[in-house]
Amino acid sequence: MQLKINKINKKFGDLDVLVDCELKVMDGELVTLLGPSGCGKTTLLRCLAGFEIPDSGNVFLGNQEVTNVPCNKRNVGFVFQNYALFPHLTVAKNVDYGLAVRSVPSKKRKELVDKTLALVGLNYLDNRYPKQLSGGQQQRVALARALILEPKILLLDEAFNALDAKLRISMQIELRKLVKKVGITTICVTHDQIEALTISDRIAIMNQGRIDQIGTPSDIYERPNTEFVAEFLGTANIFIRKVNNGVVQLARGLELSTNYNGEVTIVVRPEDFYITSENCKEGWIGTVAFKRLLGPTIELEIAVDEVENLLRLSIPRREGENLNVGKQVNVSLTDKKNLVVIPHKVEL
Amino acid sequence: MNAHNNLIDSIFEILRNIILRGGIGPVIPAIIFLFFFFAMPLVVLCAFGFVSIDRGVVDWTSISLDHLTSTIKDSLFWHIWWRSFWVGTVSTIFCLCLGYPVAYIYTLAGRGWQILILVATISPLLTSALVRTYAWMVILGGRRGVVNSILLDLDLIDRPIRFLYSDFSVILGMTQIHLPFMILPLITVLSARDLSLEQASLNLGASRLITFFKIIVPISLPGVIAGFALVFAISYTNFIVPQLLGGGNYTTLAVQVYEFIVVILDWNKGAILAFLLLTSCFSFVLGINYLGNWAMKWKEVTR
Repeated sequence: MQLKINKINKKFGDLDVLVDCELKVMDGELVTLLGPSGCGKTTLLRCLAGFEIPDSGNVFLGNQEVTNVPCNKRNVGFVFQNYALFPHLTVAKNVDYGLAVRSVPSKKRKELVDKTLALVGLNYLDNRYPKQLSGGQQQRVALARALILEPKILLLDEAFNALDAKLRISMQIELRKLVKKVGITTICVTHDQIEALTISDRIAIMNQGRIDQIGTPSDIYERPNTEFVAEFLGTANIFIRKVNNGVVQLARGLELSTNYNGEVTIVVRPEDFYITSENCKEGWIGTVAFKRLLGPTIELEIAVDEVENLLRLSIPRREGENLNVGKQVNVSLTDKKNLVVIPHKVEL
Repeated sequence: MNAHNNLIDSIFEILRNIILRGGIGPVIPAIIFLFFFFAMPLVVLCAFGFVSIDRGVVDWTSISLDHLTSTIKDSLFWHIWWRSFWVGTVSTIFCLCLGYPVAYIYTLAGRGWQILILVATISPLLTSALVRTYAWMVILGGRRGVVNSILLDLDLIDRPIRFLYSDFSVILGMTQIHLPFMILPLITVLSARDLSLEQASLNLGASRLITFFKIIVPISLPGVIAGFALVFAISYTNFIVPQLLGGGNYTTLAVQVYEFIVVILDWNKGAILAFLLLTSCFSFVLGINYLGNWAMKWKEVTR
């Protein structure tokens, strides 16, 4: 079902937790709220579930406004960070819980529980207690418990936090497949950018109670709106430069034209640099300060005299094999078009 | 002199080993203390029930089960036992019904209210149970008792109601005096509960009432069991309240033990009754715990 959030504000005491949050999610879409801890993403999710009521603004599910509907009347699926499985009930009873309180006939309930447990691949565990399950299994039970009620939307609050790194990735892929198979509108909350990139159709980046940018993962990665977004999703080399007559100089021989005035922030992604040992007319000259192998790529940090921060580069492994620490290199850009130029805002 | 020092050194050495080595060591002083001042007297008391005592002289050679069999065959004993059991059970159930809401509200309340509830719960324990029992006598007593005099003054009744010296007064007094022992374990368990479980229940469409009975109560079962066993044990064996609020004709097993040993000085009979009171109390507590573990098998399971 389609979800619309209209200018939601929420304060805890004097603290602005949510400021004019707006979001529109299409039917069947999977959107991730991504941001650092304390940015308000969980509060926004809890407003959708009805655990928190916003101070102002509206929440629409389909055509219906649900802003003030109590949480037990919304039929919104919620998967908690710790899964919140009922420890005293078996897996089957946990999944059955929502049907039982709705007094669905027991024969139909049994059928639905079997069907839903099969959907998440856990029907062989129906008699176990939550304590007897692994983290991944617990998460699937929590999903089944939410999905069995055919909720209007599904909300996941940091649902992968409790899993170890390897399992996390496979569960994320599994979740995306499952959600797409069921076709349910889903909102996830996370602070993990890899998770957001793995599962999302679109990502909403949140910062200090505001939604900074909404877009597809590649949109946000390639065209960040703000410095915060650029730094939060992926690695970014940030250059702050002054504009002179519509032209800004990034480095020796590298000039860009821009429509902005004053100061601009130029974002360079690590993979947009390339390294050459020949003398080059444009770019930077520096020495390798740090090198690490990340499987298919090598991450380098290059110290350049006239640049305050180290340049962070990512190059294919085979190209960087003999670039050891201390070696002098020339760094240039593969394509000026890949650069992102945004007006520089001084953060208060 | 030298030998003396060596002795002191070796004692310190032993103490140091006990304290630093860990394991069972640190418990040893407590075990020794409890052995001599709790277990031994208890064994001696129980033993008194199986030997004959003549004018304060114990004949340790005359071991027999005569006192036990004659007591068990006595229908009066079973009558009194039933009253002990019944009064203990009913007042424990009342404690649970009254204590649970207090403990639950405690977990919902703000910090200030929490302190107030805690103080109100614990402060009665600072006065002796005897004093509180006397207070109930003043409140419930005959024509000039607090309750009756108010009712009489308001012309709601013609004659004073006989509150005192009945099952009612005994159960009322016991419930009030033992309430803290029910509330405290319940508070411990309820305030440690995971609030997201309740939110999950609401999220799945359950009302607050259903959430309370299907989620909160089962989760708090460990506290209920602990409180129930504790309050039952002290209610079942309490002899002050039945004696004072029940009156001269009101007797329970615990009162009988007191009377036989302290008043009548029939140590044989008293010891056998004490033995039966203790063993039955132990069995009930074990039974309650067993039932509790059965109801909480979800807590014990492992992968």
